[in-house]
This record gives sequence, structure tokens and C-alpha cells, in this order.
Amino acid sequence: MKTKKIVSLLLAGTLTGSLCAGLAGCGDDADTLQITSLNAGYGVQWLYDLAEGYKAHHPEVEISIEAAAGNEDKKFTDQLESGETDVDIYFARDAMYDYMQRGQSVGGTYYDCLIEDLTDFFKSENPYDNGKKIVDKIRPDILEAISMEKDGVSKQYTVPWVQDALGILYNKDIFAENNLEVPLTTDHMLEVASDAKGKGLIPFVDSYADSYLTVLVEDWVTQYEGHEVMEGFWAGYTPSGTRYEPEVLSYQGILETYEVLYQMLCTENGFMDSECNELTFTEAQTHIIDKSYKVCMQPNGAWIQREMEANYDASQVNLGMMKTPIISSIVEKLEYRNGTAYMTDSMLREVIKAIDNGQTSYDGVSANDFNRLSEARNTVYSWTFGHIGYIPVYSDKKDVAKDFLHYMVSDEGQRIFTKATYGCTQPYEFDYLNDSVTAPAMNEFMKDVYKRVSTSKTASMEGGKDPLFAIGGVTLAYNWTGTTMIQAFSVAHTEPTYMTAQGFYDYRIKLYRDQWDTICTTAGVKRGG
Amino acid sequence: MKNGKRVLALSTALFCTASAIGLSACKKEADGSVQIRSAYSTLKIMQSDTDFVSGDANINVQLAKGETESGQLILTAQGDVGAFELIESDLSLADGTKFGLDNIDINVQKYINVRQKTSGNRNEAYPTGYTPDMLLPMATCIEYGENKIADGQNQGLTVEFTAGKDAKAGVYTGTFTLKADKQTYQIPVSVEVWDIDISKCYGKTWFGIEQGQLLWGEMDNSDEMYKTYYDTLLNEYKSCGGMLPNTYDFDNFLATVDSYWDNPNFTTFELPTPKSWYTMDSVLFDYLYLLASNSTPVKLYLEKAVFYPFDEPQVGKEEVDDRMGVISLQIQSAKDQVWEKLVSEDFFAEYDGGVNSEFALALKESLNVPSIVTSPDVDYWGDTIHTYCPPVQYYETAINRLKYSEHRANTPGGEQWFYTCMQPQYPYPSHHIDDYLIGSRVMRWTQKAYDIDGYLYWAVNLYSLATDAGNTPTDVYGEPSRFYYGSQSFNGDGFLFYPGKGYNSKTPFGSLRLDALRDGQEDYNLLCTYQDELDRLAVKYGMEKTPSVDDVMALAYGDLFTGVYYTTDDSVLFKARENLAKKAVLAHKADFYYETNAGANGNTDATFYAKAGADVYFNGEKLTGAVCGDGLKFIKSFSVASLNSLDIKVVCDGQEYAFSDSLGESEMISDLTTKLSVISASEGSEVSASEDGVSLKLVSKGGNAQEMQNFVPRVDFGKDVFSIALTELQTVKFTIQNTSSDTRDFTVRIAGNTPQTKLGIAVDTFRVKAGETLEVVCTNVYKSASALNGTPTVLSVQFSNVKFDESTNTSSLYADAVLLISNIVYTKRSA
Repeated sequence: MKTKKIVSLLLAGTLTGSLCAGLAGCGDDADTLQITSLNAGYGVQWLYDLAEGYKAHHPEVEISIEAAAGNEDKKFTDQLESGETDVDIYFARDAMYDYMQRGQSVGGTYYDCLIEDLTDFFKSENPYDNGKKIVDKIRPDILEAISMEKDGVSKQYTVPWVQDALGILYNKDIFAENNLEVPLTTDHMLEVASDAKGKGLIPFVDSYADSYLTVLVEDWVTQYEGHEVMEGFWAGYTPSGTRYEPEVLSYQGILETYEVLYQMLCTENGFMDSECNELTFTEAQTHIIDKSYKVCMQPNGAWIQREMEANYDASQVNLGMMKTPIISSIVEKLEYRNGTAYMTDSMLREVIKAIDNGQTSYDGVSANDFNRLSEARNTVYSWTFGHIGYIPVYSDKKDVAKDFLHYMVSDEGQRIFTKATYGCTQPYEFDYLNDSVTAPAMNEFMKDVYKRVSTSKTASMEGGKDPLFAIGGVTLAYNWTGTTMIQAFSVAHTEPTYMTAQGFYDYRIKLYRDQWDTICTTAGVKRGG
Repeated sequence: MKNGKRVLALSTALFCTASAIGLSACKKEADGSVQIRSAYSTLKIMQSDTDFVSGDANINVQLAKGETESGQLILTAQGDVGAFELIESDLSLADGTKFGLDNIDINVQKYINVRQKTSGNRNEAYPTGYTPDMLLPMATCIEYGENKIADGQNQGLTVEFTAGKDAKAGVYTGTFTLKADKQTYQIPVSVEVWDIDISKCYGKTWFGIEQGQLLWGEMDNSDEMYKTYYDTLLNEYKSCGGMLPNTYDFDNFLATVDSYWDNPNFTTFELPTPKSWYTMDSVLFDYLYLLASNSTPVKLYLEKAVFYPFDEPQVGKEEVDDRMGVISLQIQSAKDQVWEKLVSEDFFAEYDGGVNSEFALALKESLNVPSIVTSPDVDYWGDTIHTYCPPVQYYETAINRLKYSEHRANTPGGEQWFYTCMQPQYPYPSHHIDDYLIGSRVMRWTQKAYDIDGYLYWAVNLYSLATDAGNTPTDVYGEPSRFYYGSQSFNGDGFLFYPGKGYNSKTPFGSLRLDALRDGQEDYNLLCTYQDELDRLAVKYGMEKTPSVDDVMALAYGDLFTGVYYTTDDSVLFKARENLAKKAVLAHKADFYYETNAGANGNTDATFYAKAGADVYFNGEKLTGAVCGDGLKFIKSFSVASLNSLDIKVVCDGQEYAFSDSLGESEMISDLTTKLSVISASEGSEVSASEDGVSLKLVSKGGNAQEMQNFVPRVDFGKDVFSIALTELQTVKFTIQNTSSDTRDFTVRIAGNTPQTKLGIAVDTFRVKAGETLEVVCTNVYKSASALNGTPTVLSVQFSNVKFDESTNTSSLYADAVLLISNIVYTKRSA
């Protein structure tokens, strides 16, 4: 069935920016490859440049690109479900797990999945890469993250377009000028914050309206519990082994994480920028970039590089992304005891230094503990599997679309991407640090980020794949209703929303317990599994 | 029998871009050949459905007096149809009594293109595509040339039959004629009118009519047009439209109320509230006083009045807390002032007892006008809200139902209501276009079962499209979603009518969904009417306990719903209706009622009551009765094992009445004192024998936060407590006495013995208060046992380890508790 173009949506101005890479211009041309992309932190210049590169190989192909700003990408799936779109590739910020798991009828035709099955495509030879297959080139952990098992077969439906990396940014100049140590543990981090405050600096900045503190929640919970336990969490298992019960939110690591965040956010410590409530995300970024604001640290992502490149001279900025400090209470999970006492934080820091130096053991620390801490040290928050491209199953230009995606992941495509994004990378095998095109495009900050993300394990690897999360809306970090963590921790004790870490932990469990039947019904899962 | 699950198949129509009213691009000669099938009126059939539960080409309808019920025909075109028409004809009883053509309405279903599923609705039976909703009268359809069917497509016809309250009971038959181009088809019709009048509406309803929205659809938002909508909703669909027409014409308000007062469908009207609760005007007092001061002992105006002062208040917002408190105070204050004024004016002087007269007390009670707030949060708002109206899914568990009913019991004039809107979505009942119709009808059976007083629906006539920029024009006949929450659509939410304007009609057109709501109201009326009869019979026969229609219909309820989840098998609903109606007729005509109880030696005693002079037959055997009160009483003892069903016939006043009841299985009793070896408790807790059953010493367990939250104090009844498999359990009842000082919530589950199944699948959640005893009733237990992903081994009663203090947002361990659990009584699921 011929799909109807939603010209009216385009004309309504809900999508911003329209640039056609082809000669024929935009519009309903049956021979034009239609691409719609999110235009957020990483921008879309990479896509325009990629299209130019592709056209050099295929001058006969017209490409039309529409960019959706900010939260407009939420409409991508509406378009997909309507069946009335001519878009052939969406580059989105959405893992699409729920769509992978259910079929749907569109225009009278039922599809097992509304997005194209790319499993065979992943195994096909890439003509732009000397025949190398995506399945062999993609990072194995990312392949696992984007795959969905159906009837015992691992299938792929999406192609990641960026290697996402988030963590705690710090202003290197401020740290150096004030003799601040890059913290190794959360206790250490809070000591550094206290030290910074005492020196008239602002330890942390965030935009409460658009907060990335959730990054730290996922990192620290995963560090505390370990990746193996978290695999169970993300599959909906509770600590006691049952499934799809509200106790899935009762993992001790969640409380331990809240304890740390409480110390960061609470008014009595005064570590957060006093303007966090008013700052937009872009403004908060400015506060960490520009040292005149005296801000030391901010949870953020590597896309900040674009902001820096666009608005600052290289000599004016000196940011780093630290390895997320290890949550200090992890010592309770270790075998190590000194008598009956846990490992001290001082000793923990020494072990971490040893890990960072490439050591494989530490005197007095068991192999299990050392491996545990190594795993924690090399855990990073990354939503690579949520920054993906997909093809509507009813697209009539699937072959061209797939060919374009092959081009994107090729060495040539990766060079274009890195250059256009000021040093961002993609999760495919490539020698970014030594390539003659990509290496010069990456400043020290981006090289650090790359080193970190390419050698670490993602905290939220399976995040959201299970229908409890993908469809039911259960989250590890934040609430869908009721009081949020920021509202609980960052306010005066007299405010009605104020809660301690323990209180917020208990409150969240009760909140979900009261709604659990509805959540499971929405998710289409059975309580008890 | 299939439950209406449909399978979409590619049809030849896919080559064409045909719509319900358009011409196919692949034209074939129109000769009118159609496949004709009948279907339950509760089954919505999409335009391209090819596989659905259907019957022969006839119409069979059963209805009570004072009821409207529909039959559905589905025409599937075998070649383009250029013009079709279904023509009604006289239906008659054997004695020639006619049903009346005026009581027959033939409607053509119009299809609307659902382009996007309602957000959160994963009902695969109704995917995107052309779905029937609007009902257009046959004559209008012909007038506008819309009586065409494209090749391969369905065309549904909804034929409504209305029996007046004085209609003669019996089976009316006749033949309608269907013409389709060159073809003529004869459609046999049978309409059975049950001999019971259900024209009186029970319960309360509040349906929002948006006067401003009338301009978008009707080009007319006058008071007259509002009244047209109000009257149509009330008279055709037995639902009350919130505000009365011309509510703000205070001088004529009493006359307006009077004009509707005797309408049997008129159960509810809304009183206006101040524009600002912080700068009070006298509107609350004025309307209350007007109605109170004009009330008489036989006409208490305020009995039908409600306030609706706030919609969906958000919890945890200081300004909302403040406002809710002000509303509560202002309304109570107005009520108090009205009473004081009446007393000061010696209003009750002419009545025996004056201020303490029966009338005065009744009037004072009626001043407690329910103040409805659409909120489920009784734990948060408490007494700040007078009458809770949560979304329907909040009535799913016993514990929630207890909370709302307790609040009602503790609130003067309090009621409990429920509503639907964007939420919930399937599989809870909804009125979304891409969802089942039967859900909204069965929902009214749950209303009766759970003793809910009223139902609210927020808007029947959204005729514009709401956008961020404001309301914009929309295709009122073709756009299924009138607003987008974020970017998500909710098909059909906010409108149940379609404007008459587009077809030059003075009244709006209804929809399948509105019909289902009306039919649900009428089912509710039937249940309540039967209860009235039972109340009457209890007095007549001097019964110790008044029978409850909920007990009589318990088996049917179990088939129709669990919690608020409804069956999707239409035949179950109509079977339940017929069974209910026959019992109601017998009660009404023959003063007949029967019940069964456990008898001696494992037998069952059936007790029958009937009018003096009636003959009662039980499975063909004529029974001998004894005088009982004003009638007769018959007792028959039998063994359930020897019978398949109860076939009852009553001959009374020359009429013969008959019905069959499924044999509910006998209740079996498990003497728990003999089963201790298969009853176990969680770590630290103990089970021991007591005089009447088992004593459970329930012990909580500490540890770190995770350990405290995950520990489950519980008692497990092994499968050998029962003489049947857990997967065969229909109903399980037991008594639990809480001797501790803490109120304890607990969930009954069916669990297994693996780590994954040890928590199990919930049956229901209850609350037993400190120092109190609770009769626990679990229904459809087999469903939980069957749903367990493993072998069910125990019926587990599980308690919370920690209690949450909302004032401090902290959890602490429950103190040790002693609970006494008495014998378990259970039934086996019927085959």
C-alpha cells in the first residue's frame, strides 16, 4: 500500500531545519531517501556530511533530511505507527525495545514489528568496508544491548549512530589551581566538594529541570551490586529471585546511592550551585565550561564538546571526564575484613590507583575483590543503544536505506562522523586515536572520553529492554509521579517534599507497590513472572 | 466457543483505496450480493474483519420492559453494493399484538479510521484501521447516499428494539427485508420481551456536556442546543448530563428540576459551585436553600443533587492541598447555614415532631449532598474529599474496595463513584474506539457487585481538536482522537456523540459506545430491580436474612469478571442476562425465590418460595409446599453429584415459567486443626492449633533495607489442605482474626516452591484491622493457579514485613502479631 506523506506535519513547523543533500530538493519524490533525525547534543551536521559522502559514491541517489529539535523526536514513533510516513530512516534517541517486542497493524496490514528486521543486514558484507560485516565490527557488548531475543534467535533492528558517554565532568583548570584531587571514591568526592566549598568554589552544578544526576544513580547502583546482579534487575528480578514484583526497587545499592546523592544535594552541605533550580541545561553547561563561574564538577555527556567548540576558544576551556568515583559503601560487598571492619576508604583509594595503573592484583586483597573493584572502576553510563537508526518496515526504499547505514558504519563514515561532531565516536571497531583524520579531530578531552568508554562496561547495558521498563515505565533512577529525588533531597527540611535517603528509598517502594498491578497490566507482564 | 478474537487477512480490498462510503478503484458490477451474518450487539466488527464469531442471518433479541436492546447484522459485500436498505416490518405475538414500528430503529454503523492505537492500549483484537462507532439512522444514510458497501468490506447494522414499560410480554416475530441492489433478502426477527419492567433507573450518573464545544460541531452552543443534548442523553441513553439545562437561571431552576423530576431516568443533577473558592459568593447557599426549602416529605430535591468541585487533584502540591481544604469547608459551611436557616424559620413546624420529625431528619440527611472528586487517593486526602470517584481499575482489589466503602460509611451522605477517561486502557474497561464494547457493559455489573453508587464520564461532545495553540476545527465524523496527550492519541475519549449538523438533524447521533453504556445501565437496572423484588419477598416470607442479588448471581459474576477485568466472551454476558431476567420475572410474577445450603449427609438443601397457588417443579418433580408467611415454601434435598443442573419450572396464574441454573459445586470444608502438618510459616513465625483453627504467630524480620523490604512473613496452606487441585479452586473463604494492635494488609496468592514461583500469583489483597475479624472471600482462585509459571503447591497468605509512615516517609518493622485463621471453605470450579 502506498503510504501517504504527512506534509501537513512538516508545514506546521513542528520540525526545525530542513536541508536537502540532494539536487532534487525535499518533498514527496519517490526516488528520494527520506531521513529524519534528532537534533540535540550531538547535532545533525554529521548526517549532512555523511549524506554528502554517500552521494559521492551514489550521485543518482537523492537524500532529504529533516531535523527534529529537542523533544520533537517523541513524534517519530507516532509517525511510524500512523503508517502515513515516507521516512526511510529515523535517527532517534529511543532504544525501541517496546516496538521490537510487539506487532501492530498499520493500514490493514499486520506486521510482526514496525521496524525493519536488520538481522541479515548485520551479517551481510559491507561494500564500503572491504566486506566487513557489522556483526563483526560492532562492539560485542553493544551488539548484545541492541539485540532482542525472539523465539530463541537473537535479532537486530537498530543501528547505533554514536558511542554515547556520560559521567562527571570537571574543570581541570579549577582543580589544578586549587589543588583539588580528582576523587576516586564517593567519600573522596564529598571531601573534595567540602574542600572546594571552603575555597569559595561551587562543587557541583546541575539543571534540576533537565538533570543528568540519573547518570550517577545508574553508575553507583551498578558498581555496588555488580553487573551480574544488575542483569537480573533489568530482567525484572527482585533480590529474592522473584520476578515482576515491586521489590525490584529494593536493591540495597539503590539506598546506598541515594545516601551519596543526598550528601551532594542536601541544603546543609551546600555543595550544589544555588541556581540549579533556575538553570537550563545549556546554562548549566556554560557554568562548568567557563571557569569564571567557579564550578568544579557536573554530570554531563561528551556532546559538551560541540558546545565548547562553538562558543569558546580552545585555550579558554580545559575539561575532563573523570572515571565515576567508586561508591564507598562497596566495601560492604567485598570479602575483605580487617578483623570485623570493612576496608577503609583510604585503602580503597589505593586499590583503585593500582587498578588505574594497570595492576592486576593488590596485596591483601583477594582476586575476587580486586576483580569486583576493577569492574566497578570500569563501569560507565552510556546510552549507545538508545541512539540508533531504524527503518520503518513499510519503507519502499529499504535497500537504499540499508546501504546508507552500511556507509555510516564504514571506516569512511566513521571519519566523517568524528570530524563533524568534534571528536565523538561510534561503537564500531576503528583506530580513532591513530587515524589521520579522526585523531586530529579529537582534543584531549575527547580522547580521554573515548579511552574511557571504549574500555568500560556500560552500567545500563540491558536498561529498559524488559517490558516492565520499556512499556511499564518502571525506572531505576527517577519517578513517573510523586516526589522526585531532587525534590526530596535538595530542599529545606521544613519543605513538605523533604526526605532523607532512607525515606526516599522507602517512599519509592511504596509508591510503586500501590500502582504495581496497573504497571504490570500496562507492561503486559504477570506479577510473579 | 470462540471469544471474538479476530484475525486480519489481506483481502482484495487492499488493492483499492476504498472507504466505507467511497467507491472502489476496482469497480465490479453492483448486483447486491452480500453475505449476511448476525453477531452479538457487544461485538464490534471492523470494516475489514473476515473472521469473527457470528450467527445466521437473523435477529434475535431479548429485553425487559422499559429497555432498549440491539441486534447486529453484518453485511459483507461480494462485489460493490450501490445501495442497500434494511426495512423493518411488524413484529407480532401469536395473539396478534404488535411490537410497534415506532419502537424499532435501524442504524447504519459508520466507520472511523483509527490511525494510531490509543496510548497504552495493546488490544490486538482492534488494531488500527476502520472501526465502527457512529450510528446513522438508515433513512438518513439513504438520504445522503451513504448506503453503499465496497467489495469485500463489512457493513454493520445495529437494530434497536425498545419495549415500553407497558409492553406485553412474549415473543414477537416477523421478517425484515434487506434490499441490496438487485438482491432481496428476508431476515427473520425474534424479539422476546421479558415480563418485568426495568424502566426505573438506579444508581447515579454524571456525563459532561461541554456547551462551548457544541459550537464546533453543531455551529450552535445555545441553551436550546444544550437542552437537546441533555434530553437526548437522558431519554435515549438513560444517562444524566451533569448540569441541568439553564442551571444558571436561578429564578427558574426549581421549575427545571421539577420538569425532569418524574423522568425515570433522572437520577442525578449537579449543583453549581463558586467561580472562586477563595472569594465566596452565595451560590452554594442559594441553590441548596432553594431546593431544601421547597422539599416535601415525598420530594426531597437534594437526594438527586451532587457537587463536582474538583477534577483530579494532584497530590503533594501545597496549593492543591490548600484549595481542597477550602472547598471542603465552604461546602460544609453552606450546608450548615441552610439547615440553621430552615430551623430558624420554623420550616418543620407543621410536621409532627418538628425539627425531629421524620421529614426533618430526612431533609437534614439529604443536605449531605455528595461532593464528588475524581481521585483515587483516599490514603492521602482522607476526609478532605467527601465522595471519592477513582478510575475504575482502583476497584480491582478487595483492599481498595474496602477503603472506599469504609470512607463512604464514615461520611454523612457519602457515596463511592468511579470513572473512565484516557485511563484506564485495555484490559481494564474503557470507552476507547479501538477496544471492546463488552467491557463498558460488564463494568456496570461490577458496579452492582461492589456497591458503587455512581459513574462519571467527563465529556460526551468534544468536537474540536485540542492543540498547544488552543482548540482547532477537526473532522468531527472522521477524526478519532480529539486531543493528544503529548503526542499520544486516545481514540474516542471525550466524545460519545456525533453532531447532527452534518446531516441536517436536530438531534445528535449516538455511537456503539454510547449504546453499550446505555445497555450497561439497563443491566444495572435489571439487577437492582431484582434486588427490590428480593427485598419484598424477604418481608413477604418473613426471611431472617434478605437475599442478595449478588449472592444469587455469584456464579455469573465469577464468569463475567475477576476484580474489574471482564470477560471478552459475549455469550457469557447474554447468558447471564437471560438467567437474571428469568429469575427477576419469577420473583415479580410468582413471588418466587430459591436458595441452596449445605444439608445433612453431604446433601444440598434447596429451599423454594412461591406465591400461594403456584406449582413448583424441580428437575421434573412436582414439589409439595407448606404455608410460609403469605405464600408457600418448598424444600428439596439432593445430592449434587447426582445432578448436572437445576431445572426449575413454576406454574402460576396460568403462566408457566422455567429456567435452568448451573449447579454450583458444593462447598467443601477443610478442618485446619487436622492439617497442621501441611501448613507452614515463614522464618521466625509459628503455626499451632487453636480451638477453631490455626493460630499464626507472625514475626517480622529485620536486616538492612533490602532484607527488610524483601522478607515476607507468611503462612502457607499446602495443596493437601484441599481435596482438589489448586487449579480447580473456584472460591476460597476463611475467617481471619487479628488480635494485634496493628492493622495488617495481606495478599492471598497461589505459589510454588522454586525461587521464581515462591512469591506466587496474587488472588486478591485484603485488610484486617487491629482487633477485628474479617471474612475473606477469594473468587476465581484457579486463574491464579493456572497463571503460575510452575507447579502450584500452596495457597499462601502473605503479609508486609514493614509498615510505611507517610508522615515521616520511613518504614519500620511490624510488631509480632497473633492471627487466628478458621476453617477454609472452598468450592470446585464447575466444568
